[in-house]
Amino acid sequence: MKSPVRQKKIPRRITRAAMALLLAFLVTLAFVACDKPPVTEPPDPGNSTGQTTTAGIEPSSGYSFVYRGIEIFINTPVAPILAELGDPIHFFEAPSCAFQGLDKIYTYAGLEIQTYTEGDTDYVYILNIMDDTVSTPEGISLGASPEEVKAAYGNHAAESPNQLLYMSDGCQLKFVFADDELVSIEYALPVI
Amino acid sequence: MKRKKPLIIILLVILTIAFLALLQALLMPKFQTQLLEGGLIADYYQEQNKDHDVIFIGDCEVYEDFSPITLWEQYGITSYIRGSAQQLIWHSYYILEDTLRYETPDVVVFNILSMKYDEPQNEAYNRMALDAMPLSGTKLRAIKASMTEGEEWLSYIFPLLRYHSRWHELSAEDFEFLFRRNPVSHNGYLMRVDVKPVTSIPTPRPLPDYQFSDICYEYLDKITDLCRTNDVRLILIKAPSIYPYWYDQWDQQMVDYAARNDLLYINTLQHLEEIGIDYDTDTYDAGLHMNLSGAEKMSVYFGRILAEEYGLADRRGDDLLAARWNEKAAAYYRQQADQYLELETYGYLRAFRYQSD
Repeated sequence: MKSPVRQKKIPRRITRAAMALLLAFLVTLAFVACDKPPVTEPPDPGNSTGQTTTAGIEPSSGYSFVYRGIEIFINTPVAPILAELGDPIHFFEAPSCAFQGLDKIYTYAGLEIQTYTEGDTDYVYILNIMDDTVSTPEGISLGASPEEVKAAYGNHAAESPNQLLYMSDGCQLKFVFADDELVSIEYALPVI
Repeated sequence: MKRKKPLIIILLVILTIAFLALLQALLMPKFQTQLLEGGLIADYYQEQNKDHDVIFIGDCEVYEDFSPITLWEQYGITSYIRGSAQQLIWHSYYILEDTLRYETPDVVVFNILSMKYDEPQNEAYNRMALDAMPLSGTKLRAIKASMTEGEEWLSYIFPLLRYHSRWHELSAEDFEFLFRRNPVSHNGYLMRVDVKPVTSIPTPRPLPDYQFSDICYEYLDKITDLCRTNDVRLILIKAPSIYPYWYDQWDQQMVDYAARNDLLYINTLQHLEEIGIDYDTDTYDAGLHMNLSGAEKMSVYFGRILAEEYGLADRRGDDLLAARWNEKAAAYYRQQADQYLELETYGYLRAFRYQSD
């Protein structure tokens, strides 16, 4: 028996287009974002802002800081350093929203060491010089002038108002000034 | 047979789409038993009665530091917290714009910590803010404003493009909550009863420049204008978190902005005694966020301002509304009791223990 309503035939090109569209979607699905970490994992370490850094690449071989005779490089495991330094004066753990254990801050006399966690290991993320009782291996301590810093580190700094920024092999060395007086020295993982 | 071919093709297309939709539902993170913060935005769209006197927008400093149940029980004020983890100011603006599609509150409260972030930070937080938002022009603009480098715009429209690689980490949760979800919050408030006192505060690091960026001011202006256009009063607030450090220079900029725009700005860090915050008992992570006790104190303090200075009416006399809120309060106290029991049993709250043991 014939159907009372004659069905309209879908042109072959439309069928092909629909199939092609589906195929394209499946191919896109297969390739997009395959190399990205799941978003349910903690974000890459950052200065409690979640900014992406070069964390997890390799230890810095750039600027280092020497504290109580121990040479400290950015992005190296912190455990051996802490073992040598002994108990900190203060310890502070700062979870970021939704994820935990991103920032751990160990305070020693004149120095703060901030770490990030990758797997089961904590790595040095920031070294912050807190007062003028300690100085960098190049002889700079808080209170120095921009000229003194340039004399010690060279003229290749990225300069912005109140700041001189030096980069060297995986380490970002930041000098912050207030009224031309050095008020902060920070060794850190470079922000990408 | 030839006549049936188009039907078969249409059926095939429908089945493929249905299969992909099912796959997407399965593979998207559920945020029901872990990383509960990821479920906050979705909670709002599940809320049946979207008629609130007050809407909070902002980051963890709103969804951890205010309790809508306390605001209701103490003042009869209805409120909802549209917070998400590290909600940046453009997220807040678009979340507010989206909220105004559903309701027009009397007051919007914006926590201004996000003024310190001048660029998209991390995909994980974008996802938590945007994935659950229904598709709309607002969502499309929010995606554009929020994406970090390397993110695919299309993957926010079809999340399967982003989450398809989750197949190997699927857990029982993904199957249990495939077709349903439970609210993770109490009108946007994420409860935690545990206590971790403040023992030390990291030294604030001097900054080369304390000026908030133009982009943040642009979005703050947009929030202010949006509220004004919709006849909503805007309050700016800084929650009593001691870290990240809130610099005096930042505070002054907010004082000036509020004065220029005739807004109320409250830095609760300057009212700790009046609020009654005790950092030995009112925080669960050494001063970054309030626990239940801290959030309730904050709500008692802030509710008084809303009631007395903003004249928000006590709606506890509305029987229908009261019945709804009594139900919400019952769930709130149930979770409170459950969390205390969990603390007694395990020594910690399982839902907030993220580290692999």
